[in-house]
Amino acid sequence: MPEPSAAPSRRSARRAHRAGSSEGVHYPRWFWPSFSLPAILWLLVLFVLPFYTVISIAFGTVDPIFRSPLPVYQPWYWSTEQFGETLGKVFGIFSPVYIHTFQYVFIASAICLVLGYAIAYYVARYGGKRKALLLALLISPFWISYLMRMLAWINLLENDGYVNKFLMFLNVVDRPVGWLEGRPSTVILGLVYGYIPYMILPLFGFLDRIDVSLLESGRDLGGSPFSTFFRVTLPLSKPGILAGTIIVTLPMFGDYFTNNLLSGSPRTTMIGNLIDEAYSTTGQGPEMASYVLILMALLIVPMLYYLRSTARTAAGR
Amino acid sequence: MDEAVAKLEAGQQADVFFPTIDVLGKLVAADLLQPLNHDLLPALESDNWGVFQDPYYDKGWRYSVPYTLYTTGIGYRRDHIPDDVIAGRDNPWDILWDPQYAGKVGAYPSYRDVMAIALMKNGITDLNTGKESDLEKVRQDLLALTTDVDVRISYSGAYSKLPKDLFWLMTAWSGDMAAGWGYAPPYTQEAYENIGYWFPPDRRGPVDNDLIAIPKNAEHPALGHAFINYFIEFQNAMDNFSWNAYQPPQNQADPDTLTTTEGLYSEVTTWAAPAMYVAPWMPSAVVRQEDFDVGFREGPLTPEVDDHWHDIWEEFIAGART
Repeated sequence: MPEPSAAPSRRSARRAHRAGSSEGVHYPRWFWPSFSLPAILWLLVLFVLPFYTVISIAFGTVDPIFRSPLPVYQPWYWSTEQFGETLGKVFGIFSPVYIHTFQYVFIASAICLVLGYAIAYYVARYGGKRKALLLALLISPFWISYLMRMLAWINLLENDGYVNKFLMFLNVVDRPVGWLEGRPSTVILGLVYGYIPYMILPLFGFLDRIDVSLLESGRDLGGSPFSTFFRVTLPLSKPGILAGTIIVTLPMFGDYFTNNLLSGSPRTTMIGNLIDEAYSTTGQGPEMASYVLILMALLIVPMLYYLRSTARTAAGR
Repeated sequence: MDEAVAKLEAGQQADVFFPTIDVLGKLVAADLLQPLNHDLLPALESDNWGVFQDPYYDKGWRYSVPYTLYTTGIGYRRDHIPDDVIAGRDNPWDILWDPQYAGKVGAYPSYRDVMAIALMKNGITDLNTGKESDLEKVRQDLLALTTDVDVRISYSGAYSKLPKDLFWLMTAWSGDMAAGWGYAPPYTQEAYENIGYWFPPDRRGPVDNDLIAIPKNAEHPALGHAFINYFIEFQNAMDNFSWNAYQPPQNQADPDTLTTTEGLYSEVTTWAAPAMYVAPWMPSAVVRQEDFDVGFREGPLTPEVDDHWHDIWEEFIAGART
């Protein structure tokens, strides 16, 4: 009778292989990659296919009767005429719109970052047992739809709204401020209000995971609270800053509702408004799709930076 | 309208459809509407204005019946702009460009209607013009709306922002004005009567009507006919008018009494009763049959002209020159 071996026999390894459970077991090569199948399908159906359709509309044509967009799916039939015209407008008469949009989004994102960082930092460091409650309270207004919240702001910011009444009560102003009279500041604050939770959540996630002993080490090594923050906390939270900034910036670039509701002035038109306008006008399908492609091309730059930065961070771990 | 047409084009079924005049020809050309059976629509001939028995856009009313009528004029607040101030101007249309009202002027996000008003301001009555010189005037005027009066774009301006004192002047459809006086606070009679509607006294301005039709793929065309006939019968049409304030072309509805006759709205509401079909303080919002003889219509544009109109509108929307 042979002596039992310390190494698992081939038979037991095959059994474990089939069971897919024991340590040291070899899985089929397709096993782990298959876990990405839902994500791949999701991307194919909800990103690649619609994106290709947008391209096909941008380089396609319109129905001769209804002038509705007719996507052309065969690239060899694509026409670049409409895209070229739209590109010309972007660098011509619509350049103020692009400049507005970048200004508004940059300022709004910066405000979101400063406010969001302070809030996330407080909750992560000093929230204690009440972290979840504080987060829930911070997010609670956002259980109401974005549209409803913007409509509420209209009432608050009207000439006889509570904001003006409060400012006049405090004698800060002697007559109502025309918040809704096409002010860029109102649009920017609307964007901040609408998107700030999407900045707070990723920031909190990263700040909460920072090992407190690292901060204590910084202090032990003679760092002041400020230098510890700038030399330890801030660098460690950089991925959160990038993630939060990307998450709030991308939808802000496509936002059109905030401007429509809180301003309505052509002076504050954003790129999203151009897309909306082209979408809702007969015969402008290719132009609308061209705007979408141009916006995507512009946003690829910060997106690539984000991907490169997160890859570096991951490699550094 | 574009979305509705796209759905119809994609094969979505409906028993009735409410098109505008500018898409009717396209729908017929694409074989998406079915000819109406006039025997099933007796109310059209018995109850509706003669002008719609054989309208220019649908000879022999083969595919459509008229739904509601409206003019496009100017809504205003009397506390800032008394009637005689707007009516006394050499060209009342140009009040929308008066810099003294900067920040208080609103316009619909509707390129055909706002550009029609710019054409009227310039004395151009072809509201479907493709002439370069006409459209250049419109372009300059639209851009001036931004630079001179800092115009706001809003669908709700007529019935929401005028009553709230956010706007003092607004491009406005007569139906919006007839409905909108009581739509927003402060809900006082004084505030209601503060809202006025101006349309040229000689009625030479933009006038139009919407339609009802039956799609080719209607599952229940007989029911569709019954629905249309019900909708254009006198009392039903007037009840609908009382609710949405867009006037139907009814023979029995004497235009001279619409501002003194209470409609269904008076019965179903308590806060605003008595509500006349058209508020007595804005008689210009009443549409008359003769308006279609002297007024000007927005019809379909050729694709090239439509693109040109849209380019101008887009330049305006983009706040060019700011």
